[in-house]
Amino acid sequence: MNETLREKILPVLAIGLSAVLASCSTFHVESERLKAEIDNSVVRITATVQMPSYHAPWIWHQPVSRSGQGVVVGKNLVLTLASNVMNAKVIRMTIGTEPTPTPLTIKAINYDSNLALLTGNLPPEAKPLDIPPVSVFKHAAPLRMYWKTGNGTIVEGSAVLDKADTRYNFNSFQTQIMFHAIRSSHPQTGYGVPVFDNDGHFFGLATQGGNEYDFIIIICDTIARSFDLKKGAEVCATGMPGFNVSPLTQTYLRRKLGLANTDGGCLVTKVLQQGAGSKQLKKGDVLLALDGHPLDAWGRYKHPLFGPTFQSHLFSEHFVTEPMKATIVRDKKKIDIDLKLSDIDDSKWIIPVNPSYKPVDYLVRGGFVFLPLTLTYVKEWGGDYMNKAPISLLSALSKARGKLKTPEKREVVVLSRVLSHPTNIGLQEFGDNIVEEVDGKPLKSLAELKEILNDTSRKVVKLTLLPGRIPLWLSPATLKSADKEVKLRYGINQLERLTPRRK
Amino acid sequence: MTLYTRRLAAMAAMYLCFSALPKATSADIKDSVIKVRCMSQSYSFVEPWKKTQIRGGTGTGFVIEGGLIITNAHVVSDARYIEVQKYSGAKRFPAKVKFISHCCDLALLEIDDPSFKKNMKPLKLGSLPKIDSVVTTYGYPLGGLQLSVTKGVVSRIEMRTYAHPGGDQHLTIQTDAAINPGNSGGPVIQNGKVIGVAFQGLTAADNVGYMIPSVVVRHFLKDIADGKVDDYPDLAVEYSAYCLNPAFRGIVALPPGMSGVVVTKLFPGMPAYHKLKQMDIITAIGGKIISNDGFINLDGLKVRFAEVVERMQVGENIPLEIWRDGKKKLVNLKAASWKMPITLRNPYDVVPKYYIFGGLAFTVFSRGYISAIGGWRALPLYLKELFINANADETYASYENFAVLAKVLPDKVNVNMGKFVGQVVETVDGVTIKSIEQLKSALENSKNDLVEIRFVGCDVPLIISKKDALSRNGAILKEYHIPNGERL
Repeated sequence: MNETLREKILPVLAIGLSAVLASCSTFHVESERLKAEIDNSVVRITATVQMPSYHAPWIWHQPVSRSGQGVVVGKNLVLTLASNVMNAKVIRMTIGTEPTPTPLTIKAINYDSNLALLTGNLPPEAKPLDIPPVSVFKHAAPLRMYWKTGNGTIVEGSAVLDKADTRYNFNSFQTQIMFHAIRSSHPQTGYGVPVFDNDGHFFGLATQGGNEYDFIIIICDTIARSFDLKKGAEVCATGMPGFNVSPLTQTYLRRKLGLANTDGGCLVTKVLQQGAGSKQLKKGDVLLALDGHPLDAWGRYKHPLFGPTFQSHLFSEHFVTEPMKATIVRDKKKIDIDLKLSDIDDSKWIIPVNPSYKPVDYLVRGGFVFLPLTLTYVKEWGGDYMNKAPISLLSALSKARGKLKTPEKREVVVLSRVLSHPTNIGLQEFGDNIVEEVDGKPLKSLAELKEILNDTSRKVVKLTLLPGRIPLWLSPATLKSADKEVKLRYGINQLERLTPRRK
Repeated sequence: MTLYTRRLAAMAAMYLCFSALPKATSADIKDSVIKVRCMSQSYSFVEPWKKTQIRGGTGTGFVIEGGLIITNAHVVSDARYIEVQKYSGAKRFPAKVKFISHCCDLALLEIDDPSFKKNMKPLKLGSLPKIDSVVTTYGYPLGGLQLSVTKGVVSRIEMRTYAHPGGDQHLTIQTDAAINPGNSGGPVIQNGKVIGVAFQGLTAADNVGYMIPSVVVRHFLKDIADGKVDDYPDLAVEYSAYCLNPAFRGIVALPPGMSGVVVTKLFPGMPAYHKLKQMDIITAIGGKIISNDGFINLDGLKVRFAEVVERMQVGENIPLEIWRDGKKKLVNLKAASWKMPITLRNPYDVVPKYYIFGGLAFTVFSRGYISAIGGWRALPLYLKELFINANADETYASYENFAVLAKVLPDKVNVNMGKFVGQVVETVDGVTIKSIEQLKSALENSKNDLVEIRFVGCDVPLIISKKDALSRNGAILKEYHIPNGERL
């Protein structure tokens, strides 16, 4: 037995071991070569952000820095995640061990794809990476990630591709194909860490993770559709669906709608006031086909590369103004309609979707602090804001979201808090109430409230507050009499900040 | 009134009279402090045809006149079997809950065995203690098997939320005497009389224990004197301290020297809803002047004005003085306990309703159901809104309850309907559903074979064939071992 072990098994093991060592050594050599090749293409981005305070909107929170990764993609052009640099006061990058970072500015930002192009006078060693037009999905294909640490060292991680799937990116109304990967080495992903395939080709940027081992890659297909690098890095506006669908998988519901199981089709449940479907689609329509692709009962089409893919991805593959055909069932009749692809302008909503860290509009009168309701405002309650913010604010937010500003309703105004003063004794308990009406009329905007409260010829103004439609009587003259002292006592440099209305 | 209730009424009256008898000695007190053991079991609110696991627990009680035992409701909630043991003696006596009021966390136990009363000296109820006066608690808390005695002082007397019902506030005495699990239901003694019943503590603070004062215990005994539990009445008014504001006083022309609180919210179905208006100023209650921040002076204590209603029984008259439209007005309200389509109280001794139609198991949307699915956080925003607004919104005044789809028992008749679990029924075939009983009727009497159920906040309706659902119901119940398709 011992002889067998010595003569037969050990030589085999020795050969196997040397083969493994050799392959590791090859991997190491390959890895070092690749590292050297991309060392001047991967950059570390540092952004300084200062958020306005919503509880005291006349002051700013302490500035905070965040770091992420990016890649050089052209002369003086760096690609990174929009979330790395959004609302930054200062952006800097380092490419190696240079002591002074290079200042950058945002050249173009595409919130829908969570990508940003930065520009600045990059050091001469900066080497643009070749961005292929597509990232090819291969199940279990090995990936490498490279990122720069604070002292310029390049670090490598590895992962394997798991699946291709559609998902909403950031706060977009559009879904995109993203690749999911599973880490096999370092936990660092997200923040725009560049991802390469095993041959060293650029593959995409890593964004938010799913669980401890999962992360998601914004693939080259999306990058190519987000910016036109040849035309001075312009943002390319891809189409937005502007409607929501729900699966039509209930047998009896299909029967009631006159649909056979083989017909496929999903139910349109909500149509927004902006986007491709805003004019042609109606709630209750059944969407059978889009852009020539039949849809299944879950609203998916058969993607040639990725298999069943959610229909809204078709919009991200077409640019604004391009036409798209849809087949729907309305009132049990099958009809073809032409959808004209359009964008969604966030600034047209009563409640913008993208969080903005711009200075907050506010109005202080007699210690009463009024603000427009925004998503960022309720996010002051932290990551768990859906459970911690007052229900009345969340409810108002939910009702106003997806609605366009009109001359009658431009903002939802919140009585945020009351700064105590002898004139408002007994009224200090108000806070986070929606101002629904003023003197029985729906309130249009903060600017209108300012106009009303400044009118000292009015003896009393009645605000109707939610929740509970509680009336609050205020005397403009009394408010005015307290303003000077409130300003001094609470160190408020300006009693109001109202952004001029866009024409 | 039955013979039993008359007897009990006599006992309660006798007890109230005897409260003023000479104080008990320390040995008498120990003999009257009882260890209570309880096995309890409640129903599942998600699968209401099932009962939950059997749990065991211990607490304390004390004997009052007539050999009855007072303890906390939470010690004997959902009781299946109760036994009590005296300080001196190993014998365990089976006990029964005679009356239980979850809203004030009190229960009255009765022992059939006549030997229990032998040599028993019942404890008397005292009055409200003074702040900083010394009190002694007796009970059987964790950390040992024998009777535990701790001393402390009265730190504070005010209205506070009772944890057991979850949504009710009553007068509470705070003490620094140690009150730990197992003390619940035990007497807190001063000058040989019971001035409180130990019932809860504050885990986030040191030496903060709470007792139910004797005024609340007396209220409970008076309530049950007619043989039924009516619970506490409530004024059902939300108010604000606007009258502290000089400008507001000027707007409503409230004369100098007059004080009160401003009505901001009223609740449909409660007496105040029809007699008071938003922005009325309640200036006095039961002849007591209300301060601008809502307090009155009662028995030498500064307490919230609601304490006047707290000391009344359901059906009594609540005299109010109000200021409306620049004039003083007298209003009389009939004291009533809460009636609401969504139960805000924690559920105890409740047998939940349910109804199963084609494997769709509906139950009543209640606090018990919400707790069973993981609490407040598990609810979508629109159901949180419904929970908050339903009891204060005129729209829902005629609702008896809300039906929620608690479970889908998978079957060929309900394929792909699981996503509706947890949703509250709004309409059936376009008709608004105002109770689970009405839901049953609407489903079974629908003129359409394809019945449309719409849920609050959901864009997609649930469509089910009435014929198929009814024909499959029996097989589904058999398959899932459910004895009955409904309990309404």
